[in-house]
Amino acid sequence: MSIDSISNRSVPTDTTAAASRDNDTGRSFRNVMSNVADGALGAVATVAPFVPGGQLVGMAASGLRELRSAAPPALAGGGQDAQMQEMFAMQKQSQAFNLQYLNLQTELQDDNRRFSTLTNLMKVRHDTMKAAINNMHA
Amino acid sequence: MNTSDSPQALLKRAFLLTSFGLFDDAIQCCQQAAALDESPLSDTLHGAILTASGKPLEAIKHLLPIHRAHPDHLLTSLHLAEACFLAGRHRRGWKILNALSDDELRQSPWADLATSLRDTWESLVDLQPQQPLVVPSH
Repeated sequence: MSIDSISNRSVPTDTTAAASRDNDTGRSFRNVMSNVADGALGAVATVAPFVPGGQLVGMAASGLRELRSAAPPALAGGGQDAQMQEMFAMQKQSQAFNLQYLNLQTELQDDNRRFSTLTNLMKVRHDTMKAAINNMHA
Repeated sequence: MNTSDSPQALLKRAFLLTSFGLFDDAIQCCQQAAALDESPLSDTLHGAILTASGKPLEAIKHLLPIHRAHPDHLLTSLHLAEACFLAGRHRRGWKILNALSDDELRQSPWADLATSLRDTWESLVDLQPQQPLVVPSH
């Protein structure tokens, strides 16, 4: 693999196209970063043999790339997407709960209104009964 | 007739017993008063006590014949209307309330009860059962 081939693999054009296809900005950002990291590791691995003492660095870079490809999605870049989705779902759920809480508050206010109205009616009924008995001819 | 056994005394006792939640004893006093008094007041109070004790259907059953026998007795009409509203028979309650003469009501001591009944059942129009809370699915 040559440096040219690495630069051909470099990200911007590919990712821009992917981003235009995909509206999900989180996903496109993840792709960009993933490709940049992949390219950088590839470049280091390729250039390392030409640099004095770079064999160790080259092995490390290759090992990192392998590790990255073998990593579970939560640790690799793919996990971010899932986390974002989960976060959006939680946000939606939170909004739904807020709405329910608001509805509950409204219902409580209505109940309070009913309670005070009926209490007033009971008081008037009580007073009326008392007045009716007192007005009665003994 | 002993003063303590007069219809008024019996109704006063009934009123007190109602205040203490002793509805059965209060109704017994009303029945004793009704046996001594020809006016529909004792029977009307009997109906009002049934309503107050949470038995609006029984109150309707009790008050209807009195209302038919004494259609001009305002207090009977008002207590019957209230029992109808509390039993969920709103249309019937409004029919009885609307049949009352406004002038007659204004001159009577029961105007407050009529106004309170109207206000209460006008403001409690939406007595629909509440929607149960729904927990959003994940």
